[in-house]
Amino acid sequence: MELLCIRQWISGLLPTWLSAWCIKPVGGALVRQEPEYILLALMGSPLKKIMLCSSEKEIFSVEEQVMVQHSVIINNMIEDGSYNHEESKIPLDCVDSKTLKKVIDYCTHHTHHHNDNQEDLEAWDAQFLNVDSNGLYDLLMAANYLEIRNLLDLIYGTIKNMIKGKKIDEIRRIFNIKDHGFTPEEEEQNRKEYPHFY
Amino acid sequence: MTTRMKHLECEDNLPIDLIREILLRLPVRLLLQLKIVCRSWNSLISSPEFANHQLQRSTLTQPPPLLCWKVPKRAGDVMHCSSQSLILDRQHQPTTFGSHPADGKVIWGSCNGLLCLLQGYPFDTLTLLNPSTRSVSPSVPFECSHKCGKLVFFGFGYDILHDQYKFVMGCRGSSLITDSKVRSGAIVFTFGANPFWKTVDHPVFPYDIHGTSNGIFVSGTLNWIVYDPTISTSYEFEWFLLTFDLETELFGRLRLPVTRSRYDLSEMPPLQLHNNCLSVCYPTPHKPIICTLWIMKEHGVESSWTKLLAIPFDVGISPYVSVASLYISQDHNLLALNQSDGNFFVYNLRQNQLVSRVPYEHFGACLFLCQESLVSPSHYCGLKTIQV
Repeated sequence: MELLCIRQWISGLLPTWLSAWCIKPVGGALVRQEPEYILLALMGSPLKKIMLCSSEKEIFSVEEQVMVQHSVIINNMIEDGSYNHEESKIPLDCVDSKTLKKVIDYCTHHTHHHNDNQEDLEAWDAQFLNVDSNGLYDLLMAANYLEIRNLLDLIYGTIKNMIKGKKIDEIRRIFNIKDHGFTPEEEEQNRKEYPHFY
Repeated sequence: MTTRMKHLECEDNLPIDLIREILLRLPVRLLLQLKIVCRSWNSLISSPEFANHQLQRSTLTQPPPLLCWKVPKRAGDVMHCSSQSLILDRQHQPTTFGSHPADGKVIWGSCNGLLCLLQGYPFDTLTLLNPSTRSVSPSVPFECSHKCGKLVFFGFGYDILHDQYKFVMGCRGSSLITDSKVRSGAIVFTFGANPFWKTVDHPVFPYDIHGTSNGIFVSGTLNWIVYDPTISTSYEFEWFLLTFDLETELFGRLRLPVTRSRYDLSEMPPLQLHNNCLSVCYPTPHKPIICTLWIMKEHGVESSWTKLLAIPFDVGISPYVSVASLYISQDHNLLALNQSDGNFFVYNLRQNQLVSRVPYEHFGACLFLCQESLVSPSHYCGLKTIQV
Protein backbone atom coordinates (compact mmCIF):
# COMPACT_ATOMS: atom_id res chain seq x y z
CA MET A 1 0.00 0.00 0.00
CA GLU A 2 2.55 2.64 -1.07
CA LEU A 3 -0.28 5.04 -1.71
CA LEU A 4 -0.85 5.39 2.03
CA CYS A 5 2.79 6.31 2.60
CA ILE A 6 2.63 8.91 -0.12
CA ARG A 7 -0.55 10.20 1.44
CA GLN A 8 1.03 10.57 4.85
CA TRP A 9 4.00 12.41 3.33
CA ILE A 10 1.73 14.77 1.49
CA SER A 11 -0.43 15.41 4.55
CA GLY A 12 2.69 16.59 6.35
CA LEU A 13 3.27 19.21 3.65
CA LEU A 14 -0.20 20.67 3.46
CA PRO A 15 -1.54 23.61 5.47
CA THR A 16 -4.67 22.92 7.51
CA TRP A 17 -6.78 25.60 5.79
CA LEU A 18 -6.67 23.52 2.66
CA SER A 19 -8.99 20.89 4.16
CA ALA A 20 -11.81 23.44 4.13
CA TRP A 21 -11.55 23.53 0.34
CA CYS A 22 -11.62 19.85 -0.23
CA ILE A 23 -15.13 18.71 -0.81
CA LYS A 24 -16.01 16.08 -3.35
CA PRO A 25 -18.82 13.70 -4.11
CA VAL A 26 -18.44 10.31 -2.48
CA GLY A 27 -21.18 7.74 -2.59
CA GLY A 28 -23.73 10.10 -3.97
CA ALA A 29 -23.27 12.76 -1.29
CA LEU A 30 -20.91 15.66 -0.90
CA VAL A 31 -18.49 14.93 1.90
CA ARG A 32 -15.34 16.50 3.16
CA GLN A 33 -12.42 14.73 1.60
CA GLU A 34 -8.85 14.61 2.86
CA PRO A 35 -6.69 17.05 0.87
CA GLU A 36 -4.11 14.36 0.22
CA TYR A 37 -6.52 12.52 -2.01
CA ILE A 38 -7.40 15.66 -3.95
CA LEU A 39 -3.73 16.33 -4.49
CA LEU A 40 -3.14 12.80 -5.67
CA ALA A 41 -6.06 13.15 -8.05
CA LEU A 42 -4.63 16.41 -9.36
CA MET A 43 -1.24 14.73 -9.72
CA GLY A 44 -2.90 12.36 -12.14
CA SER A 45 -2.91 9.18 -10.05
CA PRO A 46 -6.54 8.80 -9.05
CA LEU A 47 -7.44 6.00 -6.70
CA LYS A 48 -9.23 3.21 -8.50
CA LYS A 49 -12.97 3.50 -8.36
CA ILE A 50 -15.73 0.94 -8.71
CA MET A 51 -19.41 1.44 -9.46
CA LEU A 52 -22.14 0.05 -7.25
CA CYS A 53 -25.74 0.05 -8.48
CA SER A 54 -28.62 0.13 -5.98
CA SER A 55 -32.00 -1.57 -6.38
CA GLU A 56 -33.37 1.81 -7.53
CA LYS A 57 -30.79 1.80 -10.35
CA GLU A 58 -28.77 4.65 -8.83
CA ILE A 59 -25.01 4.44 -9.38
CA PHE A 60 -22.52 5.11 -6.61
CA SER A 61 -18.85 5.56 -7.30
CA VAL A 62 -16.57 4.46 -4.48
CA GLU A 63 -12.89 3.67 -4.02
CA GLU A 64 -12.19 0.04 -4.78
CA GLN A 65 -9.81 -0.20 -1.84
CA VAL A 66 -12.54 0.86 0.59
CA MET A 67 -15.10 -1.72 -0.51
CA VAL A 68 -12.57 -4.51 -0.94
CA GLN A 69 -11.36 -4.03 2.63
CA HIS A 70 -14.83 -4.33 4.12
CA SER A 71 -17.07 -6.42 1.89
CA VAL A 72 -16.13 -10.05 1.36
CA ILE A 73 -18.62 -10.31 -1.53
CA ILE A 74 -17.18 -7.34 -3.43
CA ASN A 75 -13.64 -8.45 -2.65
CA ASN A 76 -14.36 -11.87 -4.17
CA MET A 77 -15.94 -10.34 -7.26
CA ILE A 78 -12.91 -8.16 -7.90
CA GLU A 79 -10.42 -10.94 -7.17
CA ASP A 80 -12.00 -13.49 -9.44
CA GLY A 81 -12.05 -10.97 -12.25
CA SER A 82 -15.79 -10.89 -12.80
CA TYR A 83 -15.69 -7.10 -12.44
CA ASN A 84 -14.39 -5.12 -15.38
CA HIS A 85 -13.34 -1.60 -14.34
CA GLU A 86 -13.99 0.05 -17.67
CA GLU A 87 -17.58 -0.97 -18.20
CA SER A 88 -19.08 -2.86 -15.29
CA LYS A 89 -21.11 -1.83 -12.37
CA ILE A 90 -21.93 -4.18 -9.53
CA PRO A 91 -25.70 -4.59 -9.27
CA LEU A 92 -26.95 -4.80 -5.69
CA ASP A 93 -30.64 -5.51 -6.17
CA CYS A 94 -31.24 -6.19 -2.47
CA VAL A 95 -29.97 -2.82 -1.29
CA ASP A 96 -31.82 0.46 -1.84
CA SER A 97 -30.05 3.78 -2.45
CA LYS A 98 -30.50 5.19 1.03
CA THR A 99 -29.02 2.07 2.66
CA LEU A 100 -26.23 1.71 0.12
CA LYS A 101 -25.18 5.30 0.76
CA LYS A 102 -25.01 4.56 4.51
CA VAL A 103 -23.01 1.39 3.95
CA ILE A 104 -20.52 3.17 1.71
CA ASP A 105 -20.28 5.95 4.27
CA TYR A 106 -19.44 3.38 6.99
CA CYS A 107 -16.79 1.62 4.94
CA THR A 108 -15.21 4.86 3.76
CA HIS A 109 -15.03 6.29 7.25
CA HIS A 110 -13.50 3.15 8.70
CA THR A 111 -10.89 2.91 5.96
CA HIS A 112 -9.82 6.53 6.19
CA HIS A 113 -10.02 6.76 9.97
CA HIS A 114 -8.70 3.37 10.97
CA ASN A 115 -5.89 5.03 12.91
CA ASP A 116 -8.22 7.06 15.06
CA ASN A 117 -8.47 6.21 18.73
CA GLN A 118 -11.05 3.72 19.89
CA GLU A 119 -13.30 6.26 21.65
CA ASP A 120 -13.65 8.45 18.58
CA LEU A 121 -14.49 5.47 16.38
CA GLU A 122 -17.06 4.22 18.87
CA ALA A 123 -18.66 7.64 19.09
CA TRP A 124 -18.87 7.81 15.30
CA ASP A 125 -20.40 4.31 15.17
CA ALA A 126 -22.99 5.27 17.77
CA GLN A 127 -23.96 8.32 15.74
CA PHE A 128 -23.99 6.22 12.55
CA LEU A 129 -26.49 3.77 14.05
CA ASN A 130 -28.83 6.50 15.21
CA VAL A 131 -31.38 5.52 12.59
CA ASP A 132 -35.05 4.72 12.63
CA SER A 133 -36.70 1.30 12.89
CA ASN A 134 -36.62 0.34 9.24
CA GLY A 135 -33.17 1.83 8.73
CA LEU A 136 -31.53 -0.58 11.17
CA TYR A 137 -33.30 -3.55 9.60
CA ASP A 138 -32.20 -2.49 6.09
CA LEU A 139 -28.62 -1.94 7.26
CA LEU A 140 -28.51 -5.40 8.83
CA MET A 141 -29.81 -7.08 5.68
CA ALA A 142 -27.37 -5.10 3.49
CA ALA A 143 -24.37 -5.83 5.75
CA ASN A 144 -25.32 -9.51 5.76
CA TYR A 145 -25.68 -9.61 1.97
CA LEU A 146 -22.38 -7.83 1.35
CA GLU A 147 -20.70 -9.74 4.21
CA ILE A 148 -19.27 -6.72 5.99
CA ARG A 149 -18.03 -8.34 9.20
CA ASN A 150 -17.38 -5.31 11.39
CA LEU A 151 -20.65 -3.59 10.48
CA LEU A 152 -22.52 -6.83 11.23
CA ASP A 153 -20.81 -7.15 14.61
CA LEU A 154 -21.71 -3.55 15.37
CA ILE A 155 -25.37 -4.03 14.49
CA TYR A 156 -25.59 -7.36 16.36
CA GLY A 157 -24.09 -5.70 19.41
CA THR A 158 -26.72 -2.97 19.26
CA ILE A 159 -29.57 -5.47 18.88
CA LYS A 160 -28.16 -7.48 21.79
CA ASN A 161 -28.37 -4.36 23.95
CA MET A 162 -31.90 -3.77 22.75
CA ILE A 163 -32.99 -7.23 23.91
CA LYS A 164 -31.43 -7.15 27.37
CA GLY A 165 -33.83 -6.18 30.11
CA LYS A 166 -36.90 -6.04 27.87
CA LYS A 167 -40.21 -7.70 28.61
CA ILE A 168 -41.49 -10.51 26.41
CA ASP A 169 -44.09 -8.50 24.54
CA GLU A 170 -41.52 -5.79 23.76
CA ILE A 171 -39.21 -8.43 22.32
CA ARG A 172 -42.05 -9.89 20.28
CA ARG A 173 -42.77 -6.43 18.91
CA ILE A 174 -39.09 -5.75 18.11
CA PHE A 175 -38.88 -8.90 16.02
CA ASN A 176 -42.39 -8.64 14.60
CA ILE A 177 -43.50 -11.94 16.12
CA LYS A 178 -47.25 -11.81 15.74
CA ASP A 179 -48.00 -15.43 16.55
CA HIS A 180 -45.84 -17.02 19.21
CA GLY A 181 -47.19 -20.50 18.43
CA PHE A 182 -47.71 -21.69 22.02
CA THR A 183 -50.97 -23.17 23.27
CA PRO A 184 -52.76 -21.29 26.07
CA GLU A 185 -51.68 -24.01 28.52
CA GLU A 186 -48.05 -23.61 27.45
CA GLU A 187 -48.26 -19.81 27.75
CA GLU A 188 -49.67 -20.25 31.25
CA GLN A 189 -46.75 -22.53 32.16
CA ASN A 190 -44.26 -20.06 30.70
CA ARG A 191 -45.83 -17.22 32.67
CA LYS A 192 -45.40 -19.21 35.89
CA GLU A 193 -41.79 -19.99 35.16
CA TYR A 194 -40.70 -16.44 34.29
CA PRO A 195 -43.22 -14.07 35.86
CA HIS A 196 -40.85 -11.09 35.76
CA PHE A 197 -40.41 -11.48 32.03
CA TYR A 198 -44.07 -10.70 31.32
CA MET B 1 -22.30 2.26 23.68
CA THR B 2 -25.34 4.36 24.49
CA THR B 3 -27.67 4.91 21.60
CA ARG B 4 -31.22 6.02 21.71
CA MET B 5 -32.34 2.97 19.85
CA LYS B 6 -35.78 2.70 18.45
CA HIS B 7 -37.28 -0.68 17.88
CA LEU B 8 -36.21 -2.89 15.07
CA GLU B 9 -39.81 -3.05 13.92
CA CYS B 10 -39.54 -4.88 10.68
CA GLU B 11 -42.26 -5.29 8.12
CA ASP B 12 -40.92 -8.68 7.27
CA ASN B 13 -39.39 -10.99 9.82
CA LEU B 14 -35.65 -11.28 10.07
CA PRO B 15 -34.45 -14.49 8.45
CA ILE B 16 -33.78 -17.25 10.98
CA ASP B 17 -30.03 -17.32 10.37
CA LEU B 18 -29.75 -13.67 11.39
CA ILE B 19 -31.87 -14.39 14.48
CA ARG B 20 -29.45 -17.20 15.19
CA GLU B 21 -26.46 -14.87 14.95
CA ILE B 22 -28.11 -12.47 17.38
CA LEU B 23 -28.98 -15.24 19.85
CA LEU B 24 -25.50 -16.80 19.70
CA ARG B 25 -24.10 -13.62 21.21
CA LEU B 26 -26.32 -13.78 24.28
CA PRO B 27 -25.52 -15.35 27.67
CA VAL B 28 -27.04 -18.71 28.62
CA ARG B 29 -29.31 -17.36 31.33
CA LEU B 30 -30.95 -14.91 28.93
CA LEU B 31 -31.26 -17.59 26.24
CA LEU B 32 -33.20 -19.86 28.58
CA GLN B 33 -35.65 -17.05 29.14
CA LEU B 34 -35.91 -16.23 25.42
CA LYS B 35 -37.08 -19.78 24.73
CA ILE B 36 -40.58 -18.66 25.67
CA VAL B 37 -40.73 -15.78 23.15
CA CYS B 38 -42.02 -18.03 20.39
CA ARG B 39 -41.94 -21.60 19.21
CA SER B 40 -39.31 -21.12 16.50
CA TRP B 41 -36.95 -19.48 19.00
CA ASN B 42 -37.69 -22.36 21.39
CA SER B 43 -36.68 -25.03 18.83
CA LEU B 44 -33.64 -23.02 17.80
CA ILE B 45 -32.32 -22.53 21.33
CA SER B 46 -33.14 -26.12 22.34
CA SER B 47 -31.34 -27.67 19.38
CA PRO B 48 -28.07 -29.51 20.14
CA GLU B 49 -26.33 -27.76 17.21
CA PHE B 50 -27.15 -24.37 18.68
CA ALA B 51 -25.91 -25.54 22.09
CA ASN B 52 -22.58 -26.58 20.59
CA HIS B 53 -22.16 -23.33 18.63
CA GLN B 54 -23.06 -21.29 21.70
CA LEU B 55 -20.46 -23.27 23.65
CA GLN B 56 -17.77 -22.57 21.05
CA ARG B 57 -18.56 -18.85 21.01
CA SER B 58 -18.56 -18.55 24.77
CA THR B 59 -15.22 -20.36 24.97
CA LEU B 60 -13.84 -17.39 23.05
CA THR B 61 -15.41 -14.72 25.25
CA GLN B 62 -14.82 -16.60 28.54
CA PRO B 63 -17.80 -15.59 30.65
CA PRO B 64 -17.58 -16.30 34.40
CA PRO B 65 -18.01 -20.02 35.14
CA LEU B 66 -20.22 -21.59 37.75
CA LEU B 67 -18.62 -23.09 40.83
CA CYS B 68 -20.15 -26.46 41.70
CA TRP B 69 -19.74 -28.74 44.65
CA LYS B 70 -21.53 -31.54 46.42
CA VAL B 71 -22.67 -30.88 49.96
CA PRO B 72 -20.63 -33.38 51.98
CA LYS B 73 -23.55 -35.28 53.45
CA ARG B 74 -24.96 -38.53 52.13
CA ALA B 75 -28.18 -37.03 50.81
CA GLY B 76 -26.63 -33.63 50.16
CA ASP B 77 -27.47 -31.59 47.07
CA VAL B 78 -25.21 -30.51 44.27
CA MET B 79 -24.83 -26.78 44.80
CA HIS B 80 -23.64 -24.15 42.40
CA CYS B 81 -23.12 -20.42 42.33
CA SER B 82 -21.89 -17.97 39.76
CA SER B 83 -18.27 -16.91 40.16
CA GLN B 84 -19.38 -13.47 38.99
CA SER B 85 -21.71 -13.15 41.97
CA LEU B 86 -18.85 -14.08 44.31
CA ILE B 87 -16.67 -11.42 42.73
CA LEU B 88 -19.38 -8.82 43.20
CA ASP B 89 -20.34 -10.10 46.65
CA ARG B 90 -19.99 -7.69 49.51
CA GLN B 91 -20.92 -8.59 53.06
CA HIS B 92 -24.47 -7.39 52.74
CA GLN B 93 -25.22 -9.03 49.40
CA PRO B 94 -25.75 -12.77 49.66
CA THR B 95 -24.71 -14.95 46.77
CA THR B 96 -27.56 -16.95 45.32
CA PHE B 97 -27.02 -20.66 45.17
CA GLY B 98 -28.73 -23.18 42.99
CA SER B 99 -29.18 -26.72 44.14
CA HIS B 100 -30.13 -30.05 42.66
CA PRO B 101 -31.12 -33.16 44.55
CA ALA B 102 -28.31 -35.63 44.21
CA ASP B 103 -29.38 -38.50 46.49
CA GLY B 104 -26.09 -40.20 47.11
CA LYS B 105 -24.35 -39.09 43.93
CA VAL B 106 -20.98 -37.37 43.90
CA ILE B 107 -19.48 -35.04 41.26
CA TRP B 108 -16.62 -36.79 39.48
CA GLY B 109 -16.06 -34.48 36.53
CA SER B 110 -17.06 -31.31 34.71
CA CYS B 111 -16.89 -30.59 31.00
CA ASN B 112 -18.66 -28.16 28.64
CA GLY B 113 -21.23 -27.23 31.25
CA LEU B 114 -22.07 -30.82 32.16
CA LEU B 115 -21.32 -32.44 35.50
CA CYS B 116 -20.70 -36.16 35.64
CA LEU B 117 -22.16 -37.66 38.81
CA LEU B 118 -21.39 -41.13 40.11
CA GLN B 119 -23.25 -43.08 42.70
CA GLY B 120 -21.63 -45.62 44.98
CA TYR B 121 -17.94 -46.29 45.57
CA PRO B 122 -17.17 -48.53 43.71
CA PHE B 123 -19.71 -47.37 41.38
CA ASP B 124 -23.32 -48.15 40.63
CA THR B 125 -24.54 -45.50 38.20
CA LEU B 126 -23.40 -42.58 36.06
CA THR B 127 -25.57 -39.48 35.52
CA LEU B 128 -25.04 -36.22 33.64
CA LEU B 129 -26.37 -32.92 35.01
CA ASN B 130 -26.40 -29.45 33.46
CA PRO B 131 -26.75 -27.00 36.38
CA SER B 132 -27.49 -24.03 34.10
CA THR B 133 -30.49 -25.59 32.39
CA ARG B 134 -31.33 -27.76 35.39
CA SER B 135 -31.69 -30.80 33.15
CA VAL B 136 -30.44 -34.23 34.05
CA SER B 137 -29.99 -37.43 32.09
CA PRO B 138 -31.37 -40.76 33.23
CA SER B 139 -28.86 -42.70 35.31
CA VAL B 140 -26.82 -45.22 33.37
CA PRO B 141 -25.77 -48.39 35.20
CA PHE B 142 -22.03 -48.70 35.77
CA GLU B 143 -21.61 -52.23 34.49
CA CYS B 144 -17.99 -52.79 33.88
CA SER B 145 -16.18 -56.11 34.08
CA HIS B 146 -12.87 -54.33 34.59
CA LYS B 147 -12.69 -53.98 38.35
CA CYS B 148 -10.31 -51.16 39.23
CA GLY B 149 -10.98 -51.14 42.94
CA LYS B 150 -11.03 -47.90 44.83
CA LEU B 151 -7.63 -46.36 44.12
CA VAL B 152 -8.40 -44.91 40.74
CA PHE B 153 -7.73 -41.88 38.63
CA PHE B 154 -10.58 -40.70 36.44
CA GLY B 155 -11.85 -37.95 34.18
CA PHE B 156 -14.91 -36.79 32.24
CA GLY B 157 -14.46 -35.15 28.87
CA TYR B 158 -15.70 -34.51 25.35
CA ASP B 159 -14.53 -36.11 22.12
CA ILE B 160 -14.91 -33.28 19.60
CA LEU B 161 -14.55 -35.41 16.49
CA HIS B 162 -17.18 -37.99 17.38
CA ASP B 163 -19.41 -35.57 19.35
CA GLN B 164 -19.48 -37.89 22.35
CA TYR B 165 -18.89 -37.56 26.07
CA LYS B 166 -16.59 -40.08 27.72
CA PHE B 167 -15.64 -41.13 31.22
CA VAL B 168 -12.11 -42.49 31.70
CA MET B 169 -10.84 -44.51 34.63
CA GLY B 170 -7.71 -46.41 35.50
CA CYS B 171 -5.75 -47.85 38.39
CA ARG B 172 -3.44 -45.58 40.27
CA GLY B 173 0.11 -46.79 40.61
CA SER B 174 -0.41 -47.34 44.33
CA SER B 175 -3.49 -49.48 43.70
CA LEU B 176 -3.68 -52.81 45.49
CA ILE B 177 -5.07 -54.61 42.45
CA THR B 178 -2.71 -57.43 41.60
CA ASP B 179 -4.18 -58.50 38.27
CA SER B 180 -1.65 -57.04 35.84
CA LYS B 181 -4.16 -56.90 33.01
CA VAL B 182 -6.39 -54.66 35.08
CA ARG B 183 -3.49 -52.55 36.34
CA SER B 184 -2.16 -51.99 32.86
CA GLY B 185 -5.43 -51.09 31.20
CA ALA B 186 -7.46 -47.91 31.52
CA ILE B 187 -11.15 -48.04 30.69
CA VAL B 188 -13.29 -45.59 28.74
CA PHE B 189 -17.05 -45.35 28.97
CA THR B 190 -18.72 -43.63 26.02
CA PHE B 191 -22.14 -42.07 26.67
CA GLY B 192 -24.80 -42.35 24.00
CA ALA B 193 -27.82 -44.28 22.82
CA ASN B 194 -25.68 -47.43 22.93
CA PRO B 195 -23.18 -46.74 25.69
CA PHE B 196 -20.16 -49.03 25.90
CA TRP B 197 -17.00 -49.71 27.85
CA LYS B 198 -13.63 -50.15 26.18
CA THR B 199 -10.15 -50.96 27.44
CA VAL B 200 -7.40 -48.69 26.18
CA ASP B 201 -3.65 -48.86 26.29
CA HIS B 202 -2.18 -47.65 29.49
CA PRO B 203 0.80 -45.34 29.24
CA VAL B 204 4.06 -47.28 29.22
CA PHE B 205 5.93 -44.83 31.38
CA PRO B 206 5.65 -45.44 35.14
CA TYR B 207 3.67 -42.89 37.04
CA ASP B 208 1.56 -42.40 40.15
CA ILE B 209 -0.89 -39.74 41.21
CA HIS B 210 -0.35 -37.82 44.43
CA GLY B 211 -3.35 -35.91 45.64
CA THR B 212 -6.24 -35.12 43.29
CA SER B 213 -7.13 -37.99 41.01
CA ASN B 214 -9.70 -35.97 39.06
CA GLY B 215 -8.70 -35.18 35.48
CA ILE B 216 -9.01 -31.70 34.02
CA PHE B 217 -10.63 -31.41 30.59
CA VAL B 218 -9.17 -28.95 28.09
CA SER B 219 -9.07 -28.97 24.28
CA GLY B 220 -10.33 -32.51 23.85
CA THR B 221 -7.91 -33.98 26.40
CA LEU B 222 -7.97 -35.03 30.04
CA ASN B 223 -4.99 -34.14 32.17
CA TRP B 224 -3.53 -35.17 35.53
CA ILE B 225 -0.37 -34.20 37.41
CA VAL B 226 1.62 -37.36 38.13
CA TYR B 227 5.08 -38.25 39.31
CA ASP B 228 7.51 -40.91 38.23
CA PRO B 229 7.94 -43.23 41.22
CA THR B 230 11.04 -44.93 39.80
CA ILE B 231 13.17 -41.81 39.87
CA SER B 232 11.57 -39.92 42.76
CA THR B 233 12.85 -39.88 46.32
CA SER B 234 11.03 -38.85 49.49
CA TYR B 235 12.03 -35.23 49.04
CA GLU B 236 12.33 -34.78 45.34
CA PHE B 237 9.65 -35.88 42.93
CA GLU B 238 9.90 -35.96 39.17
CA TRP B 239 6.54 -34.42 38.21
CA PHE B 240 4.96 -34.34 34.79
CA LEU B 241 1.59 -33.96 33.11
CA LEU B 242 -0.25 -37.10 32.04
CA THR B 243 -2.57 -36.34 29.17
CA PHE B 244 -5.25 -38.48 27.49
CA ASP B 245 -6.59 -37.58 24.06
CA LEU B 246 -10.30 -38.41 24.01
CA GLU B 247 -10.40 -38.71 20.24
CA THR B 248 -7.47 -41.03 19.66
CA GLU B 249 -7.82 -42.58 23.16
CA LEU B 250 -4.07 -42.46 23.67
CA PHE B 251 -2.03 -41.37 26.66
CA GLY B 252 0.86 -38.94 26.45
CA ARG B 253 3.10 -36.90 28.72
CA LEU B 254 3.97 -33.23 28.89
CA ARG B 255 6.40 -31.19 30.95
CA LEU B 256 5.19 -28.94 33.72
CA PRO B 257 6.42 -25.35 34.00
CA VAL B 258 10.05 -25.16 34.99
CA THR B 259 10.60 -23.51 38.32
CA ARG B 260 13.93 -22.68 39.78
CA SER B 261 13.54 -23.76 43.37
CA ARG B 262 13.74 -27.41 44.32
CA TYR B 263 11.28 -26.66 47.09
CA ASP B 264 8.57 -25.91 44.56
CA LEU B 265 8.65 -29.44 43.28
CA SER B 266 8.26 -31.41 46.46
CA GLU B 267 4.77 -30.20 47.35
CA MET B 268 2.83 -30.22 44.11
CA PRO B 269 -0.39 -28.20 44.09
CA PRO B 270 -3.40 -29.56 42.16
CA LEU B 271 -3.83 -29.06 38.44
CA GLN B 272 -6.62 -26.64 37.60
CA LEU B 273 -8.44 -24.96 34.82
CA HIS B 274 -8.10 -21.22 34.51
CA ASN B 275 -9.87 -19.29 31.76
CA ASN B 276 -9.84 -22.46 29.65
CA CYS B 277 -6.15 -23.20 30.10
CA LEU B 278 -4.42 -25.70 32.36
CA SER B 279 -2.99 -23.91 35.35
CA VAL B 280 -0.84 -24.61 38.37
CA CYS B 281 -0.55 -22.27 41.34
CA TYR B 282 2.83 -22.84 43.01
CA PRO B 283 3.13 -21.78 46.66
CA THR B 284 6.33 -19.98 47.51
CA PRO B 285 6.28 -19.38 51.26
CA HIS B 286 9.92 -18.42 51.60
CA LYS B 287 9.87 -15.63 49.07
CA PRO B 288 8.12 -12.24 49.10
CA ILE B 289 5.23 -13.69 47.14
CA ILE B 290 2.64 -16.16 48.33
CA CYS B 291 2.09 -18.04 45.11
CA THR B 292 2.73 -17.89 41.39
CA LEU B 293 0.13 -18.85 38.85
CA TRP B 294 1.30 -20.52 35.65
CA ILE B 295 -0.96 -21.30 32.71
CA MET B 296 -0.40 -23.41 29.63
CA LYS B 297 -1.54 -20.94 26.99
CA GLU B 298 -1.54 -23.43 24.16
CA HIS B 299 -2.42 -26.92 25.18
CA GLY B 300 0.17 -29.47 24.18
CA VAL B 301 2.87 -26.88 23.61
CA GLU B 302 5.30 -27.22 26.52
CA SER B 303 6.98 -23.91 25.80
CA SER B 304 3.66 -22.08 26.18
CA TRP B 305 3.69 -22.34 29.98
CA THR B 306 3.51 -18.70 31.04
CA LYS B 307 3.79 -17.10 34.45
CA LEU B 308 0.51 -15.24 34.65
CA LEU B 309 0.71 -13.53 38.02
CA ALA B 310 2.19 -13.61 41.48
CA ILE B 311 0.24 -12.76 44.62
CA PRO B 312 2.47 -10.84 47.01
CA PHE B 313 2.79 -11.31 50.77
CA ASP B 314 1.46 -8.01 51.96
CA VAL B 315 -2.11 -8.08 50.73
CA GLY B 316 -3.89 -9.36 53.77
CA ILE B 317 -3.69 -13.03 52.88
CA SER B 318 -1.65 -14.91 55.43
CA PRO B 319 1.46 -16.63 54.13
CA TYR B 320 1.97 -20.38 53.91
CA VAL B 321 -1.46 -20.84 52.38
CA SER B 322 -2.48 -23.08 49.59
CA VAL B 323 -4.35 -21.06 47.00
CA ALA B 324 -6.57 -22.39 44.24
CA SER B 325 -6.99 -19.75 41.60
CA LEU B 326 -10.40 -20.01 39.92
CA TYR B 327 -11.13 -17.22 37.47
CA ILE B 328 -9.91 -13.82 36.32
CA SER B 329 -12.67 -11.48 35.20
CA GLN B 330 -12.37 -8.91 32.43
CA ASP B 331 -12.05 -6.15 35.00
CA HIS B 332 -8.93 -7.83 36.40
CA ASN B 333 -10.46 -9.35 39.51
CA LEU B 334 -9.00 -12.71 40.49
CA LEU B 335 -11.35 -15.06 42.31
CA ALA B 336 -9.48 -17.68 44.29
CA LEU B 337 -10.00 -20.08 47.14
CA ASN B 338 -7.72 -20.03 50.13
CA GLN B 339 -7.54 -23.73 50.80
CA SER B 340 -6.00 -23.28 54.22
CA ASP B 341 -8.77 -21.23 55.82
CA GLY B 342 -11.70 -22.00 53.57
CA ASN B 343 -12.48 -18.52 52.27
CA PHE B 344 -12.94 -17.32 48.76
CA PHE B 345 -11.09 -14.12 48.14
CA VAL B 346 -11.17 -11.55 45.37
CA TYR B 347 -7.89 -9.84 44.51
CA ASN B 348 -7.69 -6.96 42.07
CA LEU B 349 -4.67 -7.39 39.82
CA ARG B 350 -4.45 -3.80 38.65
CA GLN B 351 -4.69 -2.17 42.05
CA ASN B 352 -2.77 -5.04 43.70
CA GLN B 353 -5.12 -5.29 46.62
CA LEU B 354 -7.54 -7.63 48.28
CA VAL B 355 -11.10 -6.65 47.44
CA SER B 356 -13.19 -9.03 49.53
CA ARG B 357 -13.40 -12.34 51.36
CA VAL B 358 -16.38 -14.68 51.30
CA PRO B 359 -16.55 -17.75 53.52
CA TYR B 360 -16.99 -21.08 51.78
CA GLU B 361 -19.41 -22.88 54.03
CA HIS B 362 -18.83 -26.29 52.52
CA PHE B 363 -15.09 -26.14 52.99
CA GLY B 364 -13.63 -29.54 52.28
CA ALA B 365 -15.98 -30.38 49.42
CA CYS B 366 -14.23 -30.65 46.08
CA LEU B 367 -14.92 -27.60 43.92
CA PHE B 368 -15.59 -27.94 40.19
CA LEU B 369 -15.61 -25.15 37.63
CA CYS B 370 -18.49 -25.51 35.22
CA GLN B 371 -19.18 -23.33 32.17
CA GLU B 372 -22.71 -22.11 31.68
CA SER B 373 -23.99 -23.94 28.63
CA LEU B 374 -27.09 -25.25 26.92
CA VAL B 375 -25.67 -28.72 26.30
CA SER B 376 -28.36 -31.29 26.91
CA PRO B 377 -27.41 -34.25 29.15
CA SER B 378 -30.14 -36.47 27.77
CA HIS B 379 -29.23 -35.77 24.15
CA TYR B 380 -25.80 -37.24 24.80
CA CYS B 381 -27.37 -40.26 26.42
CA GLY B 382 -29.40 -40.72 23.27
CA LEU B 383 -32.71 -39.53 24.68
CA LYS B 384 -34.97 -36.49 24.74
CA THR B 385 -34.26 -34.02 27.52
CA ILE B 386 -35.98 -34.33 30.90
CA GLN B 387 -36.55 -31.01 32.64
CA VAL B 388 -35.94 -31.11 36.39
